[in-house]
Amino acid sequence: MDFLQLVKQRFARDRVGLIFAILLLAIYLVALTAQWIMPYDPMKMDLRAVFNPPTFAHPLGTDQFGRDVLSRVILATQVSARVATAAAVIGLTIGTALGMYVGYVGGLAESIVMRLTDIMLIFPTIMLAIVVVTIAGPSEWGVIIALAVSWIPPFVRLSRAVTLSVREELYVEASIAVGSGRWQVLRHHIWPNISSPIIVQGTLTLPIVVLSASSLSFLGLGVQPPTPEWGQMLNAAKDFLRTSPYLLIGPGAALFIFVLASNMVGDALQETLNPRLKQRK
Amino acid sequence: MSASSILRMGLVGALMSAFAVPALAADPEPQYGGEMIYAITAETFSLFPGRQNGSQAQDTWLYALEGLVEITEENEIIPWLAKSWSFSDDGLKATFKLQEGVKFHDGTPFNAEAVAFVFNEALAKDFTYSNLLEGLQKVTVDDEFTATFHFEEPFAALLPNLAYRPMSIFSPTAYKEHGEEWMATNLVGTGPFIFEELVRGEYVQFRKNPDYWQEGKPYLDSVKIIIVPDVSARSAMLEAGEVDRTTSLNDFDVPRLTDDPNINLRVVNSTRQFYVVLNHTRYPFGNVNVRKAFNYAIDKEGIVASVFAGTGAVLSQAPTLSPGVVGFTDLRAEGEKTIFPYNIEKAKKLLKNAGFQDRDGNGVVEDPRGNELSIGLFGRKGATKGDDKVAELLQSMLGDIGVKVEIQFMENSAFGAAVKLSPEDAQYDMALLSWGIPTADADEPMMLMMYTPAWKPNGANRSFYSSEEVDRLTVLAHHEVDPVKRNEYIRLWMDELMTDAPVIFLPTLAFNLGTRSYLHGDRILSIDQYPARFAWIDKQEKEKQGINR
Amino acid sequence: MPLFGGHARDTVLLRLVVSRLLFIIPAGLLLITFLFALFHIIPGDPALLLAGDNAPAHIVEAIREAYGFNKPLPVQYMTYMLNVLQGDLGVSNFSRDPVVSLIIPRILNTALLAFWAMMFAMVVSLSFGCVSAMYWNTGVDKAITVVSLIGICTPIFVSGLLGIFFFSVKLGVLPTGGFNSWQSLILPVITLGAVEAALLTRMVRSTMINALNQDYITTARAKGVAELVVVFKHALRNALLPIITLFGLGFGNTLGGSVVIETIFTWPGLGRLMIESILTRDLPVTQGALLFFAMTFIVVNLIVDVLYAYVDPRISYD
Repeated sequence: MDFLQLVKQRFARDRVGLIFAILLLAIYLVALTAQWIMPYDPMKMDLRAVFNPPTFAHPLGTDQFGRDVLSRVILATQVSARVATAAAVIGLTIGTALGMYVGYVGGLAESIVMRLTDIMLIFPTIMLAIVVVTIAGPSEWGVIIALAVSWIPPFVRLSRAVTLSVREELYVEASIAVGSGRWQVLRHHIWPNISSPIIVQGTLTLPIVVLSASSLSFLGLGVQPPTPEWGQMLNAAKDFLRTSPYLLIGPGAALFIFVLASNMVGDALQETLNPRLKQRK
Repeated sequence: MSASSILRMGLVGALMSAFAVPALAADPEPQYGGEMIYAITAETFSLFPGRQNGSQAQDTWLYALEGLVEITEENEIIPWLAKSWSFSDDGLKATFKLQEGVKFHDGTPFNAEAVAFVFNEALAKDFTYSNLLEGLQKVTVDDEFTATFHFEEPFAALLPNLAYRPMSIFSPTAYKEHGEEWMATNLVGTGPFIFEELVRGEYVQFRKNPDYWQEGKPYLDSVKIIIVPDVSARSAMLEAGEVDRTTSLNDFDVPRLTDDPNINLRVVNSTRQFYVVLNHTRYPFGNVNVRKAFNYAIDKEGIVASVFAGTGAVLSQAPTLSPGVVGFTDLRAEGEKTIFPYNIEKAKKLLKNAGFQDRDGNGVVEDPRGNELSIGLFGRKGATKGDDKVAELLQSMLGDIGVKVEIQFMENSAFGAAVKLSPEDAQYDMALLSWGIPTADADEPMMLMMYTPAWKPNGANRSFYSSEEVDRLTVLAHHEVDPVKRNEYIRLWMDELMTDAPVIFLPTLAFNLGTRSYLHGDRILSIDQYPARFAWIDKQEKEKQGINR
Repeated sequence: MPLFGGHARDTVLLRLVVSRLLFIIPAGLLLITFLFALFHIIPGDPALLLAGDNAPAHIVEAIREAYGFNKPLPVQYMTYMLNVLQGDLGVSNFSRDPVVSLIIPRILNTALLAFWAMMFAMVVSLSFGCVSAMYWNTGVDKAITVVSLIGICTPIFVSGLLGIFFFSVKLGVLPTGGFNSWQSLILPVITLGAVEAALLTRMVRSTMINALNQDYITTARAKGVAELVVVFKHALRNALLPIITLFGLGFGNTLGGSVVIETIFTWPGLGRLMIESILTRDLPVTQGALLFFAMTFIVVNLIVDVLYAYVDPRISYD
């Protein structure tokens, strides 16, 4: 694909972007291999060794129940990455499919969907998420559903917009004139144009979704203990800011790096898509 | 004079001054004036005592409402709005002589009619605390300042129950004129402070009652109770001097705050004991060996150390009852620090006796047919300090004896709904709760927690535990007016609980209270109350600490 | 006398305003219905919260009776709907205070917070965004970019807590929370505004870079126009459209972030009221809070749309 080649070229040039891309991949790698690389059992408690500051044996210290913080951060990486990616992908998939369809078909369906989308866009992500989580119950799936739902509208909008502009293209009209079915047109003409902006938008969504998930945990509505999650670990650490401040390091750094890396990669992808930066004289 | 005698005189002098200084410091003269700002943990939803019984509400009422009697730090009942009382020979009547010259904040007089009205209304309208008045038929007016309570049978715990804060006397005139709903946002009582304003979710404001019936009191000009749900925010405000007083500080901050010279920190053992409801209608809790195994499997010292920093809770010495509660006896085995001391081997053996063993080596025990033992635990956060952390620990500790526990955390109202269901509808295997005894008398838990007629949805017996012997002893103790015989019944009741292990008994909470050192005269009670009606502020000390408000 | 420079233009803008306003009503009704249905599916009983854990059933029933929880569902729904249409949002399940009276003071507080946070964000992002664009790819630009990135990637509660720790507890110069004086505004506003400022700075930067790279800018420079004039008169003017949209979106983010900020700083605002009412199943208050939030956002959207239309020279006269 054209876009993929552009991306490869881009990262060949852009050292900084490349570093962040590698960082992001590294995080996903950690997430995938968590079960093998954790030095200790993240759930194993040792009530005689609580709140130990970082040592060689426990590089990030132990928490309130004597559990190894490093192992928990690794597992949390898996959990947070899973939640954020699932929410983004689900929102993206449903939103894009819906947007493509109504953008192409138009008519009453389009009006209704766009009105609903506008209504949903009214609510800040976090409020929608709070309401959904309250019904679904605070749990991993509750968070995923809540965040996925709040991210459907932007993807609907984006894919509809692209669909609308592509639909007017001559070759599409020609294709329709020749008698191609709806699905063929969508698949062969609309989709290739949509895929790149969607992927870019998806990558840009990741950091926001992760921050939303951790905010939900902060409010107590996210992933429940004993399953570790970055926001949840930070929430637990906040009450011990004065006595055991090192508890912030692991989850805080992990969250920061993931958000930073996905932001940077998303930016790089976006610039690849819309090269609007010309060299300054 | 010889060197040694000078030395001796010096020593004696030093010793004398060492004793003299504390004596001087112990009784400074109260100063008048100033406003106390007090941070509490949660909102009071209704200021009407007939429909609300949360501890934050009770703490708030303290300033404007008063009861017939009060309870002291030593859990003694002292006269308050009732000057004195006497019981009839058959124990069916209790006559109270009331204070004279007391007025409600709306100017109407406090008298026997008011008292009778409040209690008769409580019975008629089924106020929240009416179950604590079990057996009360009516209250009659003998003369202007004498009222008599009439019972069907002798009521042993009448006095401690009357000290229960919700049984405060509110102005019948205001109630009749404005109705119960208005009373939800307005306090009209006889207390040392007059209710001024309530701003939802933010604060309650009181000002001094110039006509208070106790001479020379109160000392403060006003009291403002603010609502600060976040524990870090509360301690930050106390340390910054933005509030004068706050409850429920983080146990891990206690050592640091104790060292702060500007802050006075008190910790008091309470009557609130954590426990795990075991649903006896669900497999395998019908088996006493399983219940006992679960009790021995819990590392209670570990809980106290990790969740409560070693100071925020104490090991329980008896099932449900704590030192200071009428009827309490220390039931620990010789040399042990708590009841059902932590013993993994014993727990595993008891499980084995019940037929549960890890037959396939996967860390989880199975029954003789090979089914894994997997149990659900309902938990919640923030209702009581540490409740979510204790639940996590339970899961881990029961996991150590091969029991797979799945925690379902719910938020408060969902949890409340889930644990009030009848045995047919109840969905829980286990649920983590705590039981506080607001009257410091065994009658309350006996009648509500372990008694068969108290099976949900009636009382609060959520375990659906039923024992004829326990019921028998409960009824005997409820009616027995001789304290010695009563204690004996209560003792036997506790023995039954130790034999049956109907629930998992966990540590007892210790509540803390932090105040700026210039605030004097406020108190902390083990029944989760923090009266500061007669507190006063040392203005010079306050200025010295740089607090200018 | 035309308002916006032409009768035809006025009509277009007026039509826009009216259609937006008309949009509010069905959206609001839909919202209320949705919430009503939701809360009655969830397990949870407000009567229990009042009675307390240990109350017998007949007492819970008494409370339910006293507060009207036991009427049939459709009756409760119709009554509520009719009341709302008359401007009465009901009373809180607990305090029996009218919901509107609970919400108004809170919404003013949140509005204050959000307004100042947005002001802060807009000033910071416009200035730093422009500077960044002007000095594109130099040390200054890189420094600003790094700082913005840190701002974006730091969770709001972490920066809030650190702020309280340093400025209130350690230095004692600012209050830890509540709303007692203008000083109480500083930390919450800056914390809330900083995140938005960071986000917006980057977007303003890229928008401005885009604008500065247009051909007419090159032309203007070639003609000898001063650089500052180029940036602020020409580029910014043209970047205004997307920037206004960004600010509009930013306001939504700010409102969302205010919920967390209000929790950390114990700010007496609408976000905190909403969360508490959800947790306590106080349905009327939750509905009222959400309704007001939605309306605030719609109004802001409306203003943004009108501003956009006003500034957009492409709005034609036919």
